[in-house]
Amino acid sequence: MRWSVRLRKIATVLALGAGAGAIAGLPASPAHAEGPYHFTCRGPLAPGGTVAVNISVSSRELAVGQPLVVQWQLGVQSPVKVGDPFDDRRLDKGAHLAVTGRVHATGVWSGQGTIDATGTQFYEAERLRQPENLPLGAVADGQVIASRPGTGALRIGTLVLDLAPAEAVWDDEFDTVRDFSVGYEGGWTRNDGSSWPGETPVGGSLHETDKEGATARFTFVGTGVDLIGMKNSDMSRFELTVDDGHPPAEYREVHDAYWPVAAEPRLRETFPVIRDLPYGKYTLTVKNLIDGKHARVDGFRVHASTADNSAASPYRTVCRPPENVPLIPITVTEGGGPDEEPGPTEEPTGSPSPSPTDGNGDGDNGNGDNGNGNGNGNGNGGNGNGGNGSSATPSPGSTPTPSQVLVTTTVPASPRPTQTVTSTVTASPQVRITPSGAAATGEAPVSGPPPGALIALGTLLLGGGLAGGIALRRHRAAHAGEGPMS
Amino acid sequence: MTQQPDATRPPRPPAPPQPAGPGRTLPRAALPAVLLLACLAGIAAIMAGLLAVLSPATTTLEPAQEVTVVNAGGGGHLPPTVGPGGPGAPLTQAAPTAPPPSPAALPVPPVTTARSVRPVRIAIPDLGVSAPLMRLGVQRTGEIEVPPLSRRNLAGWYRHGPVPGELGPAVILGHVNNRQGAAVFARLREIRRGQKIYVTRSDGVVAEFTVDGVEQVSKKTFPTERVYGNTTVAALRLITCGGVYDRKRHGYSDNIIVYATLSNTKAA
Repeated sequence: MRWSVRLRKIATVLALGAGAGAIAGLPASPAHAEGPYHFTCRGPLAPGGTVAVNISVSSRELAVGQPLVVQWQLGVQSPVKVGDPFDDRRLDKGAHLAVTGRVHATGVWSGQGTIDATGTQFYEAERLRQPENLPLGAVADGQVIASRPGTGALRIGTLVLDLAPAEAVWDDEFDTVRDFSVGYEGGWTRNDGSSWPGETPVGGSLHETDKEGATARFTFVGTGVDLIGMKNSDMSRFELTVDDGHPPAEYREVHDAYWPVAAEPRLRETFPVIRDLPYGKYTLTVKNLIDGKHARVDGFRVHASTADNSAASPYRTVCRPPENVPLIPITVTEGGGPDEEPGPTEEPTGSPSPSPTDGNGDGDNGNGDNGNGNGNGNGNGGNGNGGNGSSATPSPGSTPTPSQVLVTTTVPASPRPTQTVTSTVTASPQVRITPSGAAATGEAPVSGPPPGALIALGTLLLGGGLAGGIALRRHRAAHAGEGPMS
Repeated sequence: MTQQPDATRPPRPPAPPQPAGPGRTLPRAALPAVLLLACLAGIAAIMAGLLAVLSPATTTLEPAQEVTVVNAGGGGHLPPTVGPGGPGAPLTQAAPTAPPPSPAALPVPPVTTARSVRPVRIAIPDLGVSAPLMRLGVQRTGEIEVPPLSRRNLAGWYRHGPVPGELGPAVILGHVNNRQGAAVFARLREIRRGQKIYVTRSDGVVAEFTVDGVEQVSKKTFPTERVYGNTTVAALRLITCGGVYDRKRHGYSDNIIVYATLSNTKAA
């Protein structure tokens, strides 16, 4: 069965804006076409496949302030195969397909020197198992700031594909694959569960320990995880921690696996851990807290509510350009565009991308994760160039310094037309998850008694006082009557 | 004169024995006064309770200044830009479509930032602020998390946005107060355009931001796009509470939002 993905017209739009923000409309069609280049792909999503890529550049010579449009066209004959989709139970709940196309910008730019075009599309299991091509909806990402006019070049980088199942169960023991791994420390043993009645462990066995401090570590890529363990009368408290390698931990909680009915151990018990993390690579740690009591690890359930290529899924596929791909020279000259105010902030196009992509270095022999300027070496030096334009008052809103050049990329979803970005603002959100509403940053400075209690107390006091007064008057009146007689 | 005979009267026969009780030990003359005091205290308590019930805004953070909640949809006469803040400049809310304020200082290029870098401390010398930073995410409701109220001198960085110094709008939250009193951003409303904010990062870089403007917005019309929208420079947003405290909703009516732009960087 042949699978193919149709990566339609991934357009990378590089919009160059000057300090005054001058941005002209994008040209309707690129002027210089490059390719097609046949990228060689390696990985489970494209067995032996090649991807034909056309690259178009609007102009190789431009003034600061003029837009530069680079358009990617990925061939429709690019075969993509999801292993054996019918045997792959991890696809039962569907999966997110993520792609990153990377361009390296050298020479003119400072800061991040890579321009990533990324896209993510979710497919139901049924759709994944159909033979038709998978159209890839995609959104844009990537930006670069150039500090000065000069000569630069664009170098075509790699194309990275990943697939993140929406929900996948991993056994308690498996061979390391990409960013997924599992390890045990401190005295764990395997148990096939044959001594327990009823259900069997996931995969036919589980890991157990009765040593205090023994740990199991499961490293995964996704947005959430559950532990599949069990409850029994010989089990007790254990600690679950999730971290991304940098403190503080995302999650730390003590669970109790004690189950009082010794004759009815509960296998395949799910301990929910955490959901809704930013998509990425995390480690779940299971730590036994009680010596002499067991902790058991049967498996892990990984969740992914989105995906990107920042960490390597088991399906990671990398497509490299041929070695003879020439650099695309770009010349940026001083001056340029009309001196007009930039328009209002442009609406982001397409659905938001969960995070900036790195390409993850896997076979991406260009500069590393964050580019760092591709060796142009000018660092902040470009800032000095801003002196010639320092008198220009920055206009409201998004205003780069006069000497800065902003590069924006966009990859429209497949059914949409290309060339939609016309301002200096990037098309993907820099804030990956936009909170809703405002922030609750304060509380009542004084916590007085509740108003109802005050009123009740007041009524009681007032009523008591009045009643007491009346009683006193009556009492005195009565005594006043008695007085003369005595 | 007529009162005198009492003294000359023969002493009264001893009062009939009364059951001994604690209440009876009170001097008889004091009883009316006690009852009167109880009535007055009751009236005061009822008034205080009614005040608390009838006025939801019992706590106002700012000095006498009318805060008009503009949420009528039209937004009629809202200013087109975010104000500069400072003395004499009311912290009104800018129009919903207004862009962030223009940079007060020449922006510098963003700092190359590795993925593991975190901001660790914020300092605003003009306001006497120096506080550690924790990481914040979003709650299940989609609202942004806030630092624990129990720690007054702690601010939080929104980790789903850029690191301060990175391209884009980095967001830092702090409480204006808690039950014990003023918190880390209690004086944020006093900040004004041109003042400096310093954020120390885990890679040793100190990012200096210059305040561009400050506004006080109704939480009902929070300018999400202006705060979290993309920028072409490394920007910073500081957020805290303002306005009046609504006991029914357990929160303040407004947010104070400070907009700033990266203006310098240096090693710690």
